[in-house]
Amino acid sequence: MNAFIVIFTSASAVAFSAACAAFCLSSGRRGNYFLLFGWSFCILLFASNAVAAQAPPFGNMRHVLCFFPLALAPAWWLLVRKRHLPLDGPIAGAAVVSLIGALCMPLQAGWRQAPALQSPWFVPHVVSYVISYGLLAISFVCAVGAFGEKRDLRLRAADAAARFAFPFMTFGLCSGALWADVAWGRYWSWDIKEVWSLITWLVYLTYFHLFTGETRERRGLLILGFVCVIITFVVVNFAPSSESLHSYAR
Amino acid sequence: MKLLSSFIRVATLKLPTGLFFLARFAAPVLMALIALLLVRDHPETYHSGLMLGLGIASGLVCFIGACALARQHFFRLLAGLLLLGLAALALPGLLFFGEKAVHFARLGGAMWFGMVGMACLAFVSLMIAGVLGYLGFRAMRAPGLWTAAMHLFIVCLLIGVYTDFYRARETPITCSVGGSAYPAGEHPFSVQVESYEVKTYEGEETYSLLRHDKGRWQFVGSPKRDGAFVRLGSESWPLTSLLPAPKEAGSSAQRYLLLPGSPPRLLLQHAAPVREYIAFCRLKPTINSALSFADGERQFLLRVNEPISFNGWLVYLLSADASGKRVQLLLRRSPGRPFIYIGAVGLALCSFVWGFAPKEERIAAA
Repeated sequence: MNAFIVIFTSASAVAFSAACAAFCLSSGRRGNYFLLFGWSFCILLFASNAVAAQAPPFGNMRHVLCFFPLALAPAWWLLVRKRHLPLDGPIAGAAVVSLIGALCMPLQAGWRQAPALQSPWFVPHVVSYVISYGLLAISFVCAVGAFGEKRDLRLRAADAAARFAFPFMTFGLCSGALWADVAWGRYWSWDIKEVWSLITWLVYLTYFHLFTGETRERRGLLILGFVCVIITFVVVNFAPSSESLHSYAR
Repeated sequence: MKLLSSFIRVATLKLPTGLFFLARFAAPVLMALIALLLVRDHPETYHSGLMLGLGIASGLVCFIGACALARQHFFRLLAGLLLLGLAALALPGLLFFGEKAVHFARLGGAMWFGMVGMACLAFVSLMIAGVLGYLGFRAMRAPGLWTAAMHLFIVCLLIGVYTDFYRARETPITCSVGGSAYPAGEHPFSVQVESYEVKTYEGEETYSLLRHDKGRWQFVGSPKRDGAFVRLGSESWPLTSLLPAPKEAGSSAQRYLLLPGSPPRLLLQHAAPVREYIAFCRLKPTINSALSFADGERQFLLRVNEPISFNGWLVYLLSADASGKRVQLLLRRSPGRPFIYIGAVGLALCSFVWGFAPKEERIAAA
């Protein structure tokens, strides 16, 4: 099963890279085919991870990075197909980055679901956060890509992506608190990961409260928000001195 | 009530100036909260007066923001939320009364009677939920009401948090198997852990091979289990030759095998990951307690993620030690729990409506 996991991860990374290249060369039709190939491999990868883990595969960072491209599919459907925003390239690029990250991490085939993780909240909590982080990554790419552009098209795309991401982030935060209440007997433990996820939520909340300003003026908050996402998702997990209740997510 | 309506009138009169002002006030409050979370990272900081003050300020801003966003439709907002809340109660109501129907059917001896009762109940509750839900959504169709509802749910959440901050009681207890624990304070019962079990993932033990070099044990590799043997490369060792590890070796090492030679090597077997903790407990009322159970005590099975509740108290199983002698329990009374649940669920649902609403609706709300 370990060999299948590596093969499917590599195959989906290659497919998404090809999609990214096709979108850069303005070949949208071929790019869409490669995207579909990439997602097909990701479904197989998800199934392989589930078989190896004997549980929903959301237990560690590698699992989450493998699931990340699948979480981008609803974003692609909403933003590209429905709203016709030019986000094919960033979506394929984000998928490639996450899969390369997964390939660089140890396989952790021996991961098993701890008692505290055996809860109905486990899957919705993680999936909602992964979807929101995927959308926020796209929002960040658009916000950065809009530097030097006179038209506001990319900035509006960044705003739309952040707006779709925020409900998922809110759900993740609330479901995490309710789950902690059932598992540990307290909603909030001021754990480092919890604090940083709250900071991320507050930064985006501030972004939405500054509705009077131009989108261009609020771009800094979008970039700052994504920096907070990176700290919550990556830095907190790998900081050597951080003792966290979320240490099983490493 | 009179005070509330005059407050709402004042808060909503100066629109849209009031809303812009509030947003500009809300943003610094949020930034101050972020700054406080960033600057100091000791948990005691979060219980400091400054954080509590910021929490109250956030609650007030949210409440005034909700009034301003709802404009003249504040009572319509409350009516809509009430109707949606009642519609959401239909399912728990169905489960509660359905259980009663089955109970009565058992008393009467005819199960078909219970089934007919259940079907009728399901039909009626779905009808009620549908009608109330439709009316609730109709009431919430004015621009900005869902956003106002989000703010109200944050207020509800904060009320729950502050209620728990001042009124919650928590007692962690470590209970020996067979012994009773009498938690200190105002607990009207004692807890006894009759037995407990730690279930592990069978056959998931891991192995490590260490080599003694320069005065310390160094990691060589991770052998894999292959039937009745443990293999690493061309070498293999029968599982039956492993000996029980002494307690001093640490909690994770279960068995070991010392391999003589130069340098000497050590094969360690580590325990399989824990799948589940289960504790069988009894609760007995204390002498001065007003509690009474049918058989003088109450027995129950406790699992992680499945606390039991009775008479306003919650009993949690947190963990258990591998030696099989001690169980960690938590007794808790949380009066703010309903507010926090309503606030969290409402906030999450309303944020989805806000995020996926048509753009015109969002612009109107802003």
